[in-house]
Amino acid sequence: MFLIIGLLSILIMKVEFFKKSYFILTKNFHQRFIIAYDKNQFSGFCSKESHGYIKYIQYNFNLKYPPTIINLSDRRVKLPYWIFNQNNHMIKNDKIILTNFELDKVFDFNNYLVIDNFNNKCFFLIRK
Amino acid sequence: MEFINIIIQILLFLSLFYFRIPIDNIYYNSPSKKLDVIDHYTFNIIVYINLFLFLSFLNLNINNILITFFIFLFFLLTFNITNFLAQLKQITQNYFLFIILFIALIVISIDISNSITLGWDAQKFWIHKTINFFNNGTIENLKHLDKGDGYDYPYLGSLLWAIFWKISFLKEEYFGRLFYGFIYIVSILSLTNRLNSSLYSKKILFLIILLLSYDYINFAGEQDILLFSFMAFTASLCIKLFRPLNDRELIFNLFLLVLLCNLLIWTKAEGTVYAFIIILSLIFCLKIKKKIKIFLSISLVALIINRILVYKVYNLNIGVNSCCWNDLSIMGIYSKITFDRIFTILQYSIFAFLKNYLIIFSLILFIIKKNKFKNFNNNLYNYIIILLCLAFFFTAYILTDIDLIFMLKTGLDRLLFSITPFFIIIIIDYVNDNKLQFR
Repeated sequence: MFLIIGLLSILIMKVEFFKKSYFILTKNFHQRFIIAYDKNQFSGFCSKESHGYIKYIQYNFNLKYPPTIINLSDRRVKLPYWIFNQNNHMIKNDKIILTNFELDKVFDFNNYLVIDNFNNKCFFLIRK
Repeated sequence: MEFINIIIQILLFLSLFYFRIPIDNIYYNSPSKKLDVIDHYTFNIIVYINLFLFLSFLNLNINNILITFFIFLFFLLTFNITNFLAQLKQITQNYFLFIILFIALIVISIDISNSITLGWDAQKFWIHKTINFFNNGTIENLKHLDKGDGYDYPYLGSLLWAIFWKISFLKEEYFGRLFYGFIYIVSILSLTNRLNSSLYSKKILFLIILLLSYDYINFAGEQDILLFSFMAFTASLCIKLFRPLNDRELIFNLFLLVLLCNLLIWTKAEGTVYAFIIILSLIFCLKIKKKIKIFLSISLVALIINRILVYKVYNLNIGVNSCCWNDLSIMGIYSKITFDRIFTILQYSIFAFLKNYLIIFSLILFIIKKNKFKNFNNNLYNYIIILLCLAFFFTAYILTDIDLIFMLKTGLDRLLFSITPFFIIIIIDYVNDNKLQFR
């Protein structure tokens, strides 16, 4: 019996069961999602694939359908429309999530209203 | 609230797959033991997933699939009410097993619920099909997905992901992936059930395998965990098939094997090759009547034709991974077989082997095992399966047209992981042959 308890304890420690249970009890799914992708090597809150910012916009503006996502990163990136739980043909063109913007990059803001701006790098825009 | 929903989801898996089709009669007058709880879970998982798959072929969306499934369960319960009451008693008789099962499930589920992220392939290919099914799309709607979204890949994993996402209360995507954890755990239990030792020893080996094989990365929406689980069920069946069985048991287990091959074919492209290798090695090694061997061969061909037909009917492309193997002309093949490429594959293979602790563990046991060749004929099927799978990996890599090192870095670990259950057979054989008991 001690061997079983010992092995179970190792498993519990390996997955950091208590720490993760605490996070599940104290943070909602959207917060955990943002934290998880912040640590992800392909993403971040407002860098690389920017899952965190996209999730933040979806949650705070209660978006049911994906807006157009424009990622100005120089790297090869995927556009995570799946965060909205809709297939790509449901994308709406009147709203835009712009990520990885930098001053040396060209984007015409004149046609859009800025609804959200994170560090002048990630934006949520609506067509005027 | 979310924590309670995770527990409810786990209890849902445990209870949905506990309602049994009455198959105990098959094991009357059997030289082997009667079916136990894990055998029943294994049987139900294989049959119910095949049922989901069959219903999807009829172009039903998951709402209709679930309604049909629950009607099926209702009739099963109604006509087997006495049997069901007896099954309820078995829960108290197997309380220790259920406690271990529940703890393992909750630990893995909490990790999945907190880690959340999807892997590269999951975001590129599998999630799009899952979302299609979740939003009540059918197999026919898969053709509307972007070509780059892997719409022509097999879809079983996405279908299961969507079904259990749909029946969760919170309707968050990761609830569907908790089902992968359930199949994974039951598949390891099914393998360790083949130990000829005490229940206690089986639980210890189960926990050791769990500790050595569990990694969140396998639950990030990739389908290799399903391949691992179906291969584990297959490995467990193979061990059974090489033990004394009467005709009824033999046919029953071969029927389950064919159903498992169907699941492999519909999980990932390489599943078809695994199914072919498994059937081939059993035809070669299993001492069965010729007509049963013919039945196995015809079944495999029928399953592959079924996959092609279903894709043809719904206008889906059946092309096998056209990304990576474009030039298969004789000159093209000849030009790709170079010493450099062979050396690179071997080098990365060694790295991949060293990262898989279960394979290392099984190889060490194989090396230190006394009388290796005493039961060689009984285990020949296993060595053939492992060697043919490794030969398949080697061929796939040597013939690829895209960056070989990128392919090796991103795929070899997962391919090896999916065939690990056949290495676990070596561990089980070692324990059985040496009559080892954990005390």
